[in-house]
Amino acid sequence: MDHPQGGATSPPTVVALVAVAFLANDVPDAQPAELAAASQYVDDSVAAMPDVTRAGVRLASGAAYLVLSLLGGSPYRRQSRASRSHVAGRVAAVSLPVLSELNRLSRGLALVSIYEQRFRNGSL
Amino acid sequence: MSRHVDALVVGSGPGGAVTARALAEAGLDVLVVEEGDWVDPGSVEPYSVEQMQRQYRGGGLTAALGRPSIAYTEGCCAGGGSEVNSGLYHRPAAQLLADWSRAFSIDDLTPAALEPHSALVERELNVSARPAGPLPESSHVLRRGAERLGWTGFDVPRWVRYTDVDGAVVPQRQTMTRTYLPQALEAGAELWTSSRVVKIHVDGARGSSLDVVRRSGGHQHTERVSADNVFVCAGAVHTPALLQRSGFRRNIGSNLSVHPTVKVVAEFDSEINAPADLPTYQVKEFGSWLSLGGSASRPALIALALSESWPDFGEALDRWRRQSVYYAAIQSVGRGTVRALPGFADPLVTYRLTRADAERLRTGLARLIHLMLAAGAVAVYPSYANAHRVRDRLEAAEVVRRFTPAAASLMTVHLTGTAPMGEDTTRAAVNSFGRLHGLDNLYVNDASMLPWAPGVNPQGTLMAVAHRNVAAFLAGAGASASASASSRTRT
Repeated sequence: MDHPQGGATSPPTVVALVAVAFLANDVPDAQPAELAAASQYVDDSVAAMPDVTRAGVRLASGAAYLVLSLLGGSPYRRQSRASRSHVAGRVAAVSLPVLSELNRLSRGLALVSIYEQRFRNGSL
Repeated sequence: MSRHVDALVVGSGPGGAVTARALAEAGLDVLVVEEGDWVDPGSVEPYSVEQMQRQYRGGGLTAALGRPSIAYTEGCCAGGGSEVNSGLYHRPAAQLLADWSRAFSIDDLTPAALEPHSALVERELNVSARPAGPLPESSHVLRRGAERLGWTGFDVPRWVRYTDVDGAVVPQRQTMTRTYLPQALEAGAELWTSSRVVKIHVDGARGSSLDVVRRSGGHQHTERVSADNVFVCAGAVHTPALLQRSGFRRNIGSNLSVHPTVKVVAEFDSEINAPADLPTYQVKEFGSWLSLGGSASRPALIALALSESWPDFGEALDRWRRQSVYYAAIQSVGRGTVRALPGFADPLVTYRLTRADAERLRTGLARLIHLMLAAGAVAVYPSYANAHRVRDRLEAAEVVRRFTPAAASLMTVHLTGTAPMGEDTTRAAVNSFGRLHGLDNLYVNDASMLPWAPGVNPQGTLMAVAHRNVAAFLAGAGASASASASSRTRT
């Protein structure tokens, strides 16, 4: 399976799917190539995380993925981009101990990737 | 057949590099084992995502768990933290040394005892003030605010060489890969990068043997190395973790001390952002318990600082050239732990902020916003969940009132204290010169041995103490040249 909205690299993990879901809501003008690169960056970063943090982020993303699917009325992967963005906005606004913190981490990674890309290519 | 060396140094950061150079110059057969890679100085953009991926542990995504968790960063490359930190230099304060000595019964840790070692570090790293001329705008903001408020501050000396490039003053940081490590290698030390010491087996007077996992081309294998003496310099998280995995637990890993930090993005009506460097002016009006200064501010890092209130703050990023990230860092009363977990490569790190810490952070945030407004900020964006933009003192008061550490993205650098030095064996893990209590040939010589975070960048202090300790080792071991002689050769 392709990375979200683009690149034909390895399949994105649930962490990357959730991070890109938040990103689509946070940066609505993000281009498919930017989202694909962000997805890859999130996956690479999660792979490099310390064991305990990585386990926590995966758990939190799994929970967020379930909520995204429930709120969207269908498995997240099958939802339209507009639906994804809408439900991601609702989930991002929820504040739960630990889980929200860990999801903020993956969401922050995606933001970092987008703005690093834009800085490097001079589009900021 | 296993390899044998006189001394094995675990880690090549400021503590390890000082240790390795002194031992090699004294004629010992020295092996330095570094978990990260060698990255040529200047080959990655400072504060970039690439740097995070190549030179930071865990890609910069390490955190001490707690309520709230505190993100921390550690270098993981040849040269360690010196390759990625700000390069700000402070000599250890006399009061700090006295407090440490009293609390942990440390022998001979006085300004006079450290003076020659500090002087050596300053020469070797070219510690210097910025050349005369205007401060960069992101630093000038801090000075302007401080002057208008009558607060004390100064442009902090750095271990850099300043060069003039087309009329601009460009700092080149004198990291370990530019200074001590090449000198250690020149003196005969060997450096294994991409190699991790997983366990130390102490074998009494005969020395120690170590299991070293070496990575190469996607493969890894384990080598056994024996050493007469082992110096663990893997940083305040991985030094205690390695010692614990090796069976040493007494007073190890239970006294983690950091500088919790809260941040804001400040926006001005003219361009101030310097993506490749960071502000070097610091406000020191409040003693060591609170420092106000500036952080790296590439757009991606500004985005991260704004992300806690992204729906309201995200649009501000369009004006990133007029923005920079500033911080309030506190000396924390709280403490944390580092615990090696069976089956996990990385230890569990926790930190517990106290109520006093929370109040210090709130006060720090208030003073930081006050400083920015006094400097002429047109808007200040606090980095905590659901914060509001601040444009005047009235809004500042409300934002400070609503602040809770649990809502903030706290971060820290300057981790210390996880194998504290001293003669008080009820509290200290190593003696006054870094030798593990109860053992003859196992030493700690990095930030782990500093009893608590000093309120300033600890690299200068750490390097001076590391010089002192390795000098004591060489003098005591009767090596071919004493460390004082080693120091003298560089005087």
